[in-house]
Amino acid sequence: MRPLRSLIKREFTAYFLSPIAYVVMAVLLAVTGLLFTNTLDLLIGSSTRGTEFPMQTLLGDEKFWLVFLFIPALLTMRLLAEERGTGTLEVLMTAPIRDWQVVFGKYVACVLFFLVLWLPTLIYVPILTNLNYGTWWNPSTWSFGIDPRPVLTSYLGLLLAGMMFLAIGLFVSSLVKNQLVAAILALAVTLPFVVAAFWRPGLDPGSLPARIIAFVSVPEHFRKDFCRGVIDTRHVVLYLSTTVLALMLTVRSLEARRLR
Amino acid sequence: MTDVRQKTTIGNRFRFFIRGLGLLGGLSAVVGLVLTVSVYPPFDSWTRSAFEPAVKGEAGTFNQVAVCMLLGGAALVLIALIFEVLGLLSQVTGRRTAAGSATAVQTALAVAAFILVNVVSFSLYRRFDCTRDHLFTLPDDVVAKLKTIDPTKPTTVIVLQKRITSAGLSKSADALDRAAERKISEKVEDLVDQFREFGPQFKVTVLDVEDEAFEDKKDAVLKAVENQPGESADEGKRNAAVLRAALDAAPEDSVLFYSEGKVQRLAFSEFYQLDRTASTIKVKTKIDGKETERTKFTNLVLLPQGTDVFANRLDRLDAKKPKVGLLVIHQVLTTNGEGDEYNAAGLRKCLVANGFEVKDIITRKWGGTNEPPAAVSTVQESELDRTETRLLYYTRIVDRYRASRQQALELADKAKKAPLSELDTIARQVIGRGVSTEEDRAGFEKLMRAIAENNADDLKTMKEQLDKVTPKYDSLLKDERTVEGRRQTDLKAKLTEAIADCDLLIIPRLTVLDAGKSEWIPSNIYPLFNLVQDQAAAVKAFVKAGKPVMVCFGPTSIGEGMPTPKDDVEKIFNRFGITFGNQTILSDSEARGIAERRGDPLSGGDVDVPPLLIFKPAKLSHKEENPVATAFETTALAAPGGKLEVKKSGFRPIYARGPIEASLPYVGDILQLGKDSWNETKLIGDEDYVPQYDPPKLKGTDPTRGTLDEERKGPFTVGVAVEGKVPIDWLDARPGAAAAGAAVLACTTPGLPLGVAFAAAVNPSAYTSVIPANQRPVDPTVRLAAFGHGGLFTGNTLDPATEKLLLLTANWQLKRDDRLPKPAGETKTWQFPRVALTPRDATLWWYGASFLPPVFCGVFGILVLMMRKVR
Repeated sequence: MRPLRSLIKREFTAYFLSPIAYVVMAVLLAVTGLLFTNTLDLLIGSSTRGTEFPMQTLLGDEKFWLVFLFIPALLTMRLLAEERGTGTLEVLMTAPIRDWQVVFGKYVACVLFFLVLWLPTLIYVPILTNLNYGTWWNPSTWSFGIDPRPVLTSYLGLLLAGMMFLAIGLFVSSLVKNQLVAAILALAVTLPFVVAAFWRPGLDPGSLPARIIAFVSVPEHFRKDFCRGVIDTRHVVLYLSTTVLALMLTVRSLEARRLR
Repeated sequence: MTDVRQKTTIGNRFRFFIRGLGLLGGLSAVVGLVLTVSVYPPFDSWTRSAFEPAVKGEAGTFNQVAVCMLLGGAALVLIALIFEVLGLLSQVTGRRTAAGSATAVQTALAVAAFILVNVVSFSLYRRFDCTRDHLFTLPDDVVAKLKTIDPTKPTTVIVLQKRITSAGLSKSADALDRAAERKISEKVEDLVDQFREFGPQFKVTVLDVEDEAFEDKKDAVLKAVENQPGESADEGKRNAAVLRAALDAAPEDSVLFYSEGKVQRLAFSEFYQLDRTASTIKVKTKIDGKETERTKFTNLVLLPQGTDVFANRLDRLDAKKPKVGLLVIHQVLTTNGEGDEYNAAGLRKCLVANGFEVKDIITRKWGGTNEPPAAVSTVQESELDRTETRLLYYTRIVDRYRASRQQALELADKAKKAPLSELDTIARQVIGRGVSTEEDRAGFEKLMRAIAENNADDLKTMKEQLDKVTPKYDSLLKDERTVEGRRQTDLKAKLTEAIADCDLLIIPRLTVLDAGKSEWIPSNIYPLFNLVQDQAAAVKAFVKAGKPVMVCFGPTSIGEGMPTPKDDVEKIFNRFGITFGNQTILSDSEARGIAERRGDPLSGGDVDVPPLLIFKPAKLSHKEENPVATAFETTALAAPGGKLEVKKSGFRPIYARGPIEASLPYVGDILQLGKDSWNETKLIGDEDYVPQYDPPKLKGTDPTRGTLDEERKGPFTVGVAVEGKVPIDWLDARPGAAAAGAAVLACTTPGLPLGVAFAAAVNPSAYTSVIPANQRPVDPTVRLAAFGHGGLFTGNTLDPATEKLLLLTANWQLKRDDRLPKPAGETKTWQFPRVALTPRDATLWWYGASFLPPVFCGVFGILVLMMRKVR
């Protein structure tokens, strides 16, 4: 397990040395910050406007998802494509580490960095839950004016959706040599999961086409479920199964390269 | 430069061919898609049964080309994709190796497992509602109800946004109405999503009148209903007409549930009631130095009425529409009556729009010169009577004009030939002056011809009228039920039959239309409002069956004449403890109006009368507010200022007293007039008297002193509603049986208040328990309501407040309590969550959250990069 740990550490550290990671983080925080101010306006306002589920205003917005789409592509484009392009993948393959460990190590590092990306957004939570605390270090004295559970389910959804997109990005990265091509391909593959939500023909929501669109549409999952405190097994299964399949295909892709 | 072109091997050529085919197929599919969409709107009509004739060319060449291009192209794309996937797999798994085959199988299995898992998850899933208040979990009783609904029965749910909230309680929709509309629409869609978990039969369509495609969408919904599988073309057309009528009649934002020709409507306000009062505050602002008060919206506050109201509508889709019978004395007063003031067209519009049926019954036969006798006629029968009278009149007058013309022509002929002496005699008889010269003869002849000519014109006009009436009369005669009904003379049997299919009776007595304007019916008409014994007996039998009656009795002490005696309908109400005062309640403004009207009969008397007030039980009273009053008050929360004002002039007082009212947990009184009003004991129609409040003399022998008839200042109850068991002696006619039982109970029940015990002995209605169980008759409870104004629900239109009063009272009387809005105390108020921040904190959060994190991140990133360069 030591090589795996080393690989994770190396890959994780590499993110902090790459300018692209800071750009991604800054852009993400700028967008979430903007959406947070919209949410804040609705929460402190005194009019007929408001938000029943603040996380919905934050993460249910189309703007957010168009930005979100780039994050996994940018985070994963270099993972294997760069190694293939620079020829370091062959070196890695000869190291005493299995293919799945290579894939898993890079993937875990990527997911960890994805989590780090979201950590600063926790500063919004006191407002999003209308947190009132007697003593801040004693959670038993805390009370929430707004139900905090949708916040938890939203972050859980973000983690699961992020895992899925990152796994797809990693798989795409394993297929090509060029980082830019990897990023563009990853965007193209993940695009249907996001834009399906923007296409809203006048369908009966109960009809099969509408249900299929809703099934694959990640922003809809957040707008209707995760951000409102609902966990739907369909979304969880879709995210996890896609993650597993993409990781498996990535491992197979590496194995095929070895066998070729 | 390296040559990147591939070698022209068979495999490469095959791959090129397949990819080319796939691309061309894709192009064909896209073109086919565009063509198909133009003839088969997506996606409901994209069925095998639609496409098969198209492919065969039975639906025309255009359709054939469109569908063939779409399906053929899609097939080519699919073939190409299969080859591509196989190629990809071979690339992923490596070629020409033994391990490659095993890996290919593993990968294929993984992909298959992925698809399988998701297909299963798509249909077998669970939703975990993690919210604190379980906002997305249906209550158990609703779930149980939904499980009983046939899942194979298709149900169309139409969310109809008419952009009118709360049936026009606000004059124009403002930001609050819009916000409420948006939120309630959202809630409706959420709820339908939850309902859909219990069966795929719900088809949801949102129709917004402000949507440019509203009419098209509406037509599409109606077309889908018309072409519902399993129904004949006629049935489909009929069902579509039913749904169209319901869509057109919906007076406000509503949800319509349609299934198999049945429609139920749920107003948005019945699902979530807007609380305008709690959503606003009054703020004072200075405009041009003047301090003015304005309303400011602070939040959107709604009163959820529960998901069960929604489920109930679905559950009761097959339920029969309640029918309301209106008993009036003249056709003019019916819901189809002519004119503007006296008819009850507004009542019909309101009730029909809210899912009721209305039937008119006329209790007097008009047409003769004598007092109209008691009768029971439907509108058709009354129409037949009127038409028959007209027919007779026109026939007679046509005969008269014809005879008159004939006579004039004969005289004209005679004037030509007859000797002057004979003509002179005739002329003296006909025109009163003689004919002595030939000039006079010519004049007489001319005159007779002119009379004949005039008569010809009149005759023509009358014949035209007769020609109009005759076919109408003939067509009315063809209706056997109408003709048969006219023959039936047994009033009791006929009225019993006429009201048998009614669920509620409304009996108005329009004695006073507007006291302030001195608009009242001549007092000699009042006795005609009374039902004769046989008619009242039919009404009593109606009540005895547990069916409700609502009366709107106006005051009868207006003009000179014999006092109108009580009829048996009043006595029915008396048995339930409802008594009607004999006076007219007036306020100073109405008295001023009456005085003004006498001075200026054309324009005087246009005064503003005080609105009716909700009756509030005394603070120390153990009784609650009347449910109708509570519902009315809750409905008023959606109106501007939180007020719904019913304004009418000329009420009579009504009192709900007695054991039935005493046994209720709530008061019987609903509405009242304020402290400034008084009950005028003198006749307000007396020309020599200007109504004014005369306090009773301290000394003297006023017989009304201490009674309900004593002239006093308000408040006066003018609307009551009570629920009670049908008097036992109506059900058990054995002499003394019920009274004896009641007396025993009154004496033996410990703790029974003395007053109630005494009342029990007098009125045994509520004490059936003392009769042995095996002899006890079924004693249904009945809900009765009485209002002290005959014109309360009269007119071509009802104002929103009066409409609400009518609907709430009718729904309560019909025991449809789930249709009454739940007050704020009974339901958890919904509103947007708010966070209280000081302006400084809000600014800090606003800028701190939006700018600082990305700036920190950028700066930190630049520092790291700089450090890397330094190293």
